[in-house]
Amino acid sequence: MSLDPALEGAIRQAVREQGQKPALAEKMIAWLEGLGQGGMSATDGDGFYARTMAAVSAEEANDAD
Amino acid sequence: MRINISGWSSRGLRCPDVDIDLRQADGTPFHAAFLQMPNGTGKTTTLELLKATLSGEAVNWDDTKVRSFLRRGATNPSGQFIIKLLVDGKPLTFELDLDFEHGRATCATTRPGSGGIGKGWAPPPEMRRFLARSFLDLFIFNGELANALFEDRSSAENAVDALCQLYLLEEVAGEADDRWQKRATSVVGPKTSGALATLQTRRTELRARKVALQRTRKKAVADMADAKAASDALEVKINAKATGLDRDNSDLADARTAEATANADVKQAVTSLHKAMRLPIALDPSIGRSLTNWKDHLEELKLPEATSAQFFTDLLRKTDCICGTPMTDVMREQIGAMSRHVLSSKENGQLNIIKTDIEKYELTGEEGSSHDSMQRALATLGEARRTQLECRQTVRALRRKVLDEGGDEVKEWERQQAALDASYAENEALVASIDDPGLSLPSGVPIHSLAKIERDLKDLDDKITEATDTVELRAKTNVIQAIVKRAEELARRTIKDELLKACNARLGEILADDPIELEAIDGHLRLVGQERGSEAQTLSVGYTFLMTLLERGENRFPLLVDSPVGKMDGRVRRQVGKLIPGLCDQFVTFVINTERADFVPAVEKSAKNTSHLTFFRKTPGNARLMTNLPAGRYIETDTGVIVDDEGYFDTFDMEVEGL
Repeated sequence: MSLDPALEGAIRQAVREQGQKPALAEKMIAWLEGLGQGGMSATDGDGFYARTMAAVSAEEANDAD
Repeated sequence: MRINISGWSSRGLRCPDVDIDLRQADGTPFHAAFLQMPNGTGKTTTLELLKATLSGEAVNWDDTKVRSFLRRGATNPSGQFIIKLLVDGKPLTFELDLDFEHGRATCATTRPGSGGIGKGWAPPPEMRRFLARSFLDLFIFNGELANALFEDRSSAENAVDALCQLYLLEEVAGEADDRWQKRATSVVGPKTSGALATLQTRRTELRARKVALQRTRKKAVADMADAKAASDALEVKINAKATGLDRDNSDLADARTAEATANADVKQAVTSLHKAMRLPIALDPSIGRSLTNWKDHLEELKLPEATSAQFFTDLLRKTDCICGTPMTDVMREQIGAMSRHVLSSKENGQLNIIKTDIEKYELTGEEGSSHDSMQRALATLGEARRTQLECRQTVRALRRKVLDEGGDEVKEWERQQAALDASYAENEALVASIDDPGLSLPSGVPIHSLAKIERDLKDLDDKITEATDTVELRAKTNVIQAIVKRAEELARRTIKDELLKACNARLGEILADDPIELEAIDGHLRLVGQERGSEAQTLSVGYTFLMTLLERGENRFPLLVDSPVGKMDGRVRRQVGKLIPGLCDQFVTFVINTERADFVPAVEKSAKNTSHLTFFRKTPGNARLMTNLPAGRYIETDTGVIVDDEGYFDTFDMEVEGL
């Protein structure tokens, strides 16, 4: 199940504004799509979370902090 | 997620008993299902039961509310309402049981694919938000919905969130925050960047201290070597100066030899004393006496039965005893009887070992011999130490004599040598403090121990590693939450703008004769230049908003509408009816005969397939409706009749309504 195009676009823009790499937007979109489909297992949830957090640039994150 | 209604059934309730099946022969729901129900058939009751069962709120009803669903004059003890859904094609059933005797409502949920029948209201977790009452009101409604969209300050916003999946952003942010909280509670060290910086500063200081101490040590060792070399050189010069004093020099050499021997004797005496002191009973005779006393109070010597019983069994079979005496019957009887007294559990084996060990030391000599031995070692050491001191004094005196006879130059060398030796000792103490393990240093004083600094650095490194991970996770979680928040703002703004344009374009078509325009979707719907439209306008705007929203949403819900056209005129009915099937997977509507015109044909034209059900209550006043029922196309219960026939639907009660 795909996301609303406006939602996808908003995530990409928000990721850009935070100074993060486009890959993070893709990981977040994949996570949201997984949640939208429902029936997500704990393992799936762990995977989406880990991949998303790994895509966050620590340097930019620390600057933001 | 795609949710469809397969049907519902009611038994023993205020509304007539009925089984409504909204499925085609292949099990999929009809695209559009018309349920014609004259006034008084229970439309409002059915709508209320549908919402209360789907949302699970019925279980909170009080006894008065529960009993209000009992048909007037009826005495049945219970009633039941069942609604069957298809969730992404999989069946899900909610069953509401009303106990009229006790005034209680209970729910059960059936999910054939995952666990079968379960007590209580238990939909799949991902479905719960779509079964909230506020959300159900958007898709199971009557003409009041449109009013809610204009009046309820969050209804339109909620609809946007649900259908455009903006709620997923909250789930991601919530998940990230939950995981951070879990991490934060499991970590004992610093969790903030400020605390991490403090740790890093401390580590930098310790590293600098370590480098400084290493340099200091290196220099001290070099200075010690220099001092020793210079001191030795002076000693050579002093000795050379004294070469003329042969006799004194010879005495000094002898004295130094005696001093070396005395030093060796002291060392030997210390080693012997250490060895003697290792025996506790050597320290004081009272220790030995106490141990013996304790041993004597232990149980008498016994043998562990598990390993020793066989010994006696075998002995009793022998012709001779182990002492060599020929075995008699009396001896055998005595040994058999006594063996029971000396055999015991395995714990006795350990006691035996202890007792034997104590006896071993008791047997090494007479009482107190170990103590005497230690006392002798102590006396030897005292003697050796006295000899050593005497030798040292002799060496010092002879050397003094040699130096005194050497003149001022030798005295100057001696002064220099003393200074060098002092420097050596000072550096030696410094190196010793740097090499000290530093296990019990007072706090608040500069650390000299390199080992202590190494330990502190390792501890700091561990803390910094943990804190860095934690702080980084906090920072990353903040980034995710900031992105989610911003994305929600951006998405909501974009979606609202697009919805507004699409709604207004559609309203221009639907209400061409009576134009109306949406100004904003700001929590609720707002019209341009007017607070409210007519009833027909309001209903049209509500439909248009929901239709436009449904059109773009990825989640699919059934639209179940009671009295779908209200006071719309024929043209608007046709416009709305034409659009509805294109915007939802399943449209179910309760109509009365006066709503058929214009609306039903318009829906039929656009829908892929349709179902036409007519349902009425069995009462004396409705007896005329029973006269022309189509054969084989109806089901009759004690309280009502349901007819599945399009022709009957189209002509139902026409003469009564005067059409």
